[in-house]
Parts: sequence; C-alpha cells; structure tokens
Amino acid sequence: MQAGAGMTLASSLLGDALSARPSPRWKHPWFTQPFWSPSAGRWVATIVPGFVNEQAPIYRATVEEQKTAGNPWDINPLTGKQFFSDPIFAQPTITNSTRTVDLPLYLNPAIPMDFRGIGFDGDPSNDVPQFFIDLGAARAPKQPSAQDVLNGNPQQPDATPPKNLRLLRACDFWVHQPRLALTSELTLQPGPATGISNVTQTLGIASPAASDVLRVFQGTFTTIHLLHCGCRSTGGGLRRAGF
Amino acid sequence: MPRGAAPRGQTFNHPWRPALAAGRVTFNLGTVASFAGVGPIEPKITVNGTLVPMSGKDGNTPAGLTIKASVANDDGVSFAALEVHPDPDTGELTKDSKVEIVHTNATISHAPNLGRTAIALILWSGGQPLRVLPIVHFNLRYLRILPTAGGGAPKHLFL
Repeated sequence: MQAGAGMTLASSLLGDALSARPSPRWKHPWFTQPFWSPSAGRWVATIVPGFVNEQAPIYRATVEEQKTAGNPWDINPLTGKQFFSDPIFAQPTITNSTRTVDLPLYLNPAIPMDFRGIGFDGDPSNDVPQFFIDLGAARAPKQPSAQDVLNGNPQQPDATPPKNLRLLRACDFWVHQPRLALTSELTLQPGPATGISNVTQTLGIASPAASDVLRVFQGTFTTIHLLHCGCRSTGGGLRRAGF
Repeated sequence: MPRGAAPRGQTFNHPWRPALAAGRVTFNLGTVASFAGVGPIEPKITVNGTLVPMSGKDGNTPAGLTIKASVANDDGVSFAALEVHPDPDTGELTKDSKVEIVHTNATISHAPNLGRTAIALILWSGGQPLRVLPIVHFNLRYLRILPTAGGGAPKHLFL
C-alpha cells in the first residue's frame, strides 16, 4: 500500500490505516488564484469563498462563458439537479449566450479575467509602482502638456518600446453588497403671492433590485458599475478585493 | 526567511477552524465572551445526548458535532452555528448560560433570548458531506440589542 498526496499511512498489528489530512497550506478567505485555461484560451481565476454576514457571494456568469472555461454547470454538484430546472429556462428563446447562472464561490467557479494595461501601453494618468519598474515594466510615454498644446508646440511622445520591456496587466476583483439607500428629490416652485420660491425636499428609501445580490465582479473597478448591475439608487456598499 | 517569521505556507490554526471526518465536524477551540459579562466561555457540543466541552472531555480530543443530511437546505448547504442563551433581563452571558454549537440550516435568530451565528458552512452531495468551510476565524464577543419602542427585531451581534 502506498500513500498518495495528502494521505498518511500508519501500520499497526491490526493492519494498515490510511487517512486523509487537509492540505497544510492554508488559504485565507478571498485568496485569489489566477491560472491559464487552455480550453478558454484566457486567464481565469478562482476565489476562496469569504462570507459577508454568513453569506457566500455569487459570481454571475453566462452558461456559454462557463462552458468555454471548462465548466458546463449542467448539474449542480451539490443538489444533483440541473441548474436550469426552473420552467422559465425551458423557453427556446433563452440561449446559452444569454442564460446566466449564479454560482456561489464555494463551487469554485472559474472567473474569466479582463485585463487592462498599466504603464507603457496603459493609461498615462496611472503611475507604475517602482516595484514593477524594477521588474522590467515601464511608465507610459509622457504626453504633451496642455500648455504645450496651447503654445502650438506639442512634443509627440516617444512610442518606442524600451529594451526588454515587460508589459504590465491588472484586473480588479471586488465584492458588491447591495443595501437600502436614502433618496432625495428637490423640487423648486415659485411662491404664489410673495414671489419667493419654495424648495421642497422629499426623502425616501430605495430598495435594491431583486437581481441585485451579494456578488463578485471582475475587471476594472468603478463605482459607476452600480448603474449597470440593476441598482435603482446610487447607494450600494462596495469593498474592493486586491489582486 | 527572516528570523522568527512563519514558514511559507504555514497553516493558520485559527479558533473555530473546522475539520470534517466520518459524519462529524470538529473545531479548534474557540471562545465567546459576553460584552459586559463573563468570558471567555468554551461552547459545548452534544455528544450521545450529553453536552461536553468542544475541546472534548479530556481536553485533547475535540468533541465531534454530529451532522445529518436532512438538515441541509435545497442548495445542499447547512451550517454549524454557535448558539447562546443570554440572561433575559440583562442580555449578558453568565457562567451558567448555555453556549452550544449546533447543526442547523438557519443562521439568524430573531428570538430575544437566543443568539445564533454561523461558524462553518457544510456542503452536501448525495446525502454525504463533501466539504466544510470556515466562516469565523477569531474568538467572539457577544452583544444583544433589543428593539426600541419603534419596533423591530432583536439583534444578536457577534463581534
């Protein structure tokens, strides 16, 4: 008998005992692990689940995207039922390209990563930490200043890549937590007799949309993202997860 | 490696760290302290109908929380939760307060004299536990907040 990885083998008078032990390397919540997916032809990442008020965030993906990444997600591995057993998914108009599935992080979904350039081929307004410069990255070519343009003497940036240039890429992961938000509406009306305007402020509470749930996003972090994910208000708690 | 630094890849044996074995879940010792009362308190686990300290009768072999597939919800998820029974008048834990780890699919309590917080998530498949994930990593302090005259539900905070 031979013990495999993560197993221990103990011999005694009564025979051999094989036991499994957890991996000694502990990965903290939100530990993000990128890897290259040959089937998808792109970088993807998995995240060790963290919990917000005892809930694990989901990653919302299209079925086609997950199939490409090697995760068909036809059957929920926990329930043994189809992810799309709900009758609404029987409609032929819903295709894999648009069908979405909410995958809790504890199912280890492969999250495709959308990178942006930092440094030489990136946004010149973003600085590059010296750490990456030392590794071969370079800052973006200096753009002509507004004063130079006004003076009619704009110096075109030198777009020649430095020798041994290494390009730098970045991708943000963040957790989105919907919450109630306070709304405020101001109305201005002319006074009927005095000519003094009346200002009325109406305060209210806006609930998140039903589809707006605790979830993980990837890409380029922006609070404007709230407008794209179904929040009816400008509220919403955001916490950024570094990568 | 700097002197005194933890070796790379060193495990983190934090409080409440769960382990799954043979239909039971054991935990590293974790404690809960009352916000203005007593503590730290070691929770207990029911083993064969008897409440024993979570670190076990002998303090060396942790008590195993018996888990049943019937407790899991439709998503194949259940929880190991810490339940506390504070003093009804003060909301504080006393040395006689019942503090127990239970297997449940409810993570929140709205009862005024029962506080509950999940400490581990258990994944099930085909009636068998697959994996257990830690939710809490540090020792806890308990605080009860009762609703004011305006109404609402009691809040049980585990800080």
